[in-house]
Amino acid sequence: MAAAEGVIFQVQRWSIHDGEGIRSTVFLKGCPLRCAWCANPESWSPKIEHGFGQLVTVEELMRRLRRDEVFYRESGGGVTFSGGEPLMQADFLLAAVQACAASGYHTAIETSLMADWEKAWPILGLIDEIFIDLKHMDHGLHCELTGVSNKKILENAQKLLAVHNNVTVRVPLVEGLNDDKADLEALAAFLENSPGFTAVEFMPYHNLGVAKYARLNLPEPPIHSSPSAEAIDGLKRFLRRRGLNVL
Amino acid sequence: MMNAAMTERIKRFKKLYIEAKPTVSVERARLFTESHKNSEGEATIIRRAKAFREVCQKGPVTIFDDELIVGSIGEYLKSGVVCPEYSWSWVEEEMDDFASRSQDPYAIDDKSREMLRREIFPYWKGKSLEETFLSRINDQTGRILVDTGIIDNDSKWRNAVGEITADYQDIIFQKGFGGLKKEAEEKLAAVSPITPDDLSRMEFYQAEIIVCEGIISLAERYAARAEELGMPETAAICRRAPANPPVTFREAIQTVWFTQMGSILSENSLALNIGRFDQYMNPYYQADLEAGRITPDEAQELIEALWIKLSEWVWVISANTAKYFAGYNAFQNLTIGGRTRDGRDATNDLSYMCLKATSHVKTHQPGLSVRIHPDTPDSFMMAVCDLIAEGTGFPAVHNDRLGSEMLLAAGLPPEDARDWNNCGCVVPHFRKIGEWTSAVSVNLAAALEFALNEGRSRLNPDLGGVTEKPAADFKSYDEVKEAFLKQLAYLIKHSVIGSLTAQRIHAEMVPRPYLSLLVDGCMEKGKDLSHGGAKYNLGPVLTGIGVADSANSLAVIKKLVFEDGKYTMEQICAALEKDWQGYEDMRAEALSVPKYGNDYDYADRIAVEISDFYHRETVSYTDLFGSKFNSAFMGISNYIPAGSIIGATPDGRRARTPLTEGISPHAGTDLTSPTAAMRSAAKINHDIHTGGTLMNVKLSPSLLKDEKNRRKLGSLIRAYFSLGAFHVQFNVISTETLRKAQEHPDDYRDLLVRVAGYSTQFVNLSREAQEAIIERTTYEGL
Repeated sequence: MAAAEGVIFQVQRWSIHDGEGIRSTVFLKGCPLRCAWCANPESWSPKIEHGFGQLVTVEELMRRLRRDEVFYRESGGGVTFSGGEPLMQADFLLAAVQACAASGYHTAIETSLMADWEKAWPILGLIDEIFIDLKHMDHGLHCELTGVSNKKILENAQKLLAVHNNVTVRVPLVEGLNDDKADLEALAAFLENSPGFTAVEFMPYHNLGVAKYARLNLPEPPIHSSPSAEAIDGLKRFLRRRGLNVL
Repeated sequence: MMNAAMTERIKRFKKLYIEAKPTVSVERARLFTESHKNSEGEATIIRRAKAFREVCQKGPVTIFDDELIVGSIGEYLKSGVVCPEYSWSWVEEEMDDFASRSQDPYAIDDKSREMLRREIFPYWKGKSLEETFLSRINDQTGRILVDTGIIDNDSKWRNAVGEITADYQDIIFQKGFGGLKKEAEEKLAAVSPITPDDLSRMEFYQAEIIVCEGIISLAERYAARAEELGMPETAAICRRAPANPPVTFREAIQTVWFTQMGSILSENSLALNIGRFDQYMNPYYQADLEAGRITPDEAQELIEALWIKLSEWVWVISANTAKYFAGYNAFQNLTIGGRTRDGRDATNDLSYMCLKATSHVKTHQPGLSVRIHPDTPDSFMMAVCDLIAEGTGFPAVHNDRLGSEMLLAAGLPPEDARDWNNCGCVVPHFRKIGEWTSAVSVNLAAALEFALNEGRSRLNPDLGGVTEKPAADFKSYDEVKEAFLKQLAYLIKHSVIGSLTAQRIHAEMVPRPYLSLLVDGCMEKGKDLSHGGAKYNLGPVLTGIGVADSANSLAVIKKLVFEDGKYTMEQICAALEKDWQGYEDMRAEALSVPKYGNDYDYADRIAVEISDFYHRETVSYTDLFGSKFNSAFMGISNYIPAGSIIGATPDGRRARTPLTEGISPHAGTDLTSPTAAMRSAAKINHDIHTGGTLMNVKLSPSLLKDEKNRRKLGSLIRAYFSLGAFHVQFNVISTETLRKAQEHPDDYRDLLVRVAGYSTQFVNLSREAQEAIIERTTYEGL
């Protein structure tokens, strides 16, 4: 695979929850995590299979992204890279981000930060708005819930928050798994000492991706639920009392 | 500081309005007919003027409790009138079912029906516009024009034309009807009847004097009644206005309503537009504020009272017409915002107050329209988005600059072109224009069906266009396309014939003396609107229905038959003949060919080609006054009756199901995004369709929930207009829609789900996912 090529599984126009303004989101294939609640299981494998995935050059990608240029411009929107874990295709991602910047598009990324810092930072440093996922502060529970340790993730997060000034921390909230006050206490402690972050955003669990599993011949995922609206409000209040900005 | 809420009084008016039943008042018909019985042999225009005066002087005068603005066209709160001079046979046929019909029912009591049968219908038998039209229209045209759904213009012979914007700025507020009467008297005195034209002009001025007397009498009678009811302020206003130019804001509003009443009583028609209310009312508002005569809250209340008045009267139409113009919608357009005559931003206090009024009373009239230009203030844009977010469907949003450009292209000078307002639905209009803005509805899908079915309708073999060879004999896509365009040209030609026939009869039989007072040019020329009296005369608008359907169908034929070679024309037509029964696989393939509205050039460019052709063909004809016909793709509900007479179409559509309105994507086929739908629609050349191009977009509720997202809506609109599009209106996806989506997921594949970080390439709307979406907490998912 040449450097300027990558495997994506979706270019979604009219993404209105993935950054500023009206955006297109590019979903890259491949993810090192296996989160118990994942809504994009088609993103896990880096291969083109089961009808998901296509190989694109950066030029082809830019051609598609240009279609909504007038909407990015008018709304202060742009392009968001997501997945899967976009940093897994670091060469392709870097080229794509550079091309977006050259076209004057505002860029954003949604990442788990499960990547080597040396490869990640040259890309992240170019991106305007960063969304990082912190699924669980406890190492053991993180392994259980996502299949990987959170050691590298937290190290990267710490470094990132020290040098980038537009980082939103997204916390997927799954009832009974990571919505305990104790879990959030650890998060609050972690973030308190990192002045660089913009806000915390809770992402209540949803089951919209469940139907995809069967199509991929994957075992049906466990059924989870979102904490109640009141519970979520309680968690927001908790973090705000700790002095953190919560969306 | 303005009060956020409706006053108690407006709440009461609103409640009464909602609870009142639309009821037909036959007094107008009775008096109009009585007068005609007594004016046999006189000049038509004078007979009609006298009949109008009779209605004004003897018709019911009804003031309801504590009204702020007075005037009702009948005895009931929600009155509708019957105008037998245009048509009466459908009234006779349908009136026993008025109360029980499904679309837009009306109540009508036994006594009224009896009176109509006894006195009204017999008089007008043989004399009505409808009967004359039906006897004059040539056989060939009539066969596809009269109640077939192929081409339709019954709103121009079962009804009066309407479609004017009263000129408050230069005529009514400047002169009052007393001044107009005086002007007509002076002009009459200055004419000597030495040429036939002079004779006509004299008759015209005589008629104008009579209608002025009528409307002034009407107001005086309301003054008297108000006096009786102990409403001295109202009485004083009705004595002054509309005979005299108004002085206060309240007088001006009462003038607007009396003027409107006159129009309704004379014609019972659609698109009697209020025009640029925020512009012409502002001087009165500002003067009152400065003089301490009014507070902002009081002005707001008056505006809301007017909104309710505009909604109270009911446009009485046949069941057939109701299919095309559904929802008791009289299309009284009120346009706010935009630029001034000399090109500055026109947004003012009243612009915001109009938005607020619609937000408060949520009545279906007036049809609130907004003109947006690049320098429209952000705060106004946000106020517009806030109103859109309320989900009423209002306001309709228009590209200010494009509207002026269209009128410039029609020959108006720049200042007038900038001063445009909407007529009825989407049409760029001006108060000094005479134009039939919705002259004929043309069914593009019928043209396609004829082309594929040897020139005949699939569902009704008696109907057809140009004879054509069997579809199996088409050797290339170009041949199919040419065959379609040939049928379309035929439909356009006969639409023109239908319009010209109607125009001539209107000029002969139903001159419009009252409305001619309201449009500049008529008084000066001494010529009725129906004779081309308006300062500017623009040609009739032919409205095309089914752009998306035709483009999608041609795309399927191009791809599956001639590019991929998967099916033959014969096989496709066999499937259409059977309404896809037994051809489910073929239908699935047809459905998966990329559809217009997803930003694929494949189908989109066909839509451009079709609409360009439609325009070229349409403007090649001229009307009674030498003006070119105009093209448009709009019309509120005409796509439903239009679809009901068309069989299955190659795009996968089933027989008799609705087509598509305006240039919107066919319902359920825009699977990509609003941005993609807009990009598709923007490929069409909007600037040539001077009758307007209508685009409906489904709106996600999540966009409405906070200011940040409403701002995105504003950006979406501005971006769409920057691409050269003319109009957009938003339909909010309601809970009801979501429930329907549960039942029929296939019809709702275009319901977009947008959750942060979630890829929706593969959304199968499983029951669980649907439940989740409908659940409050994940309502954000849209």
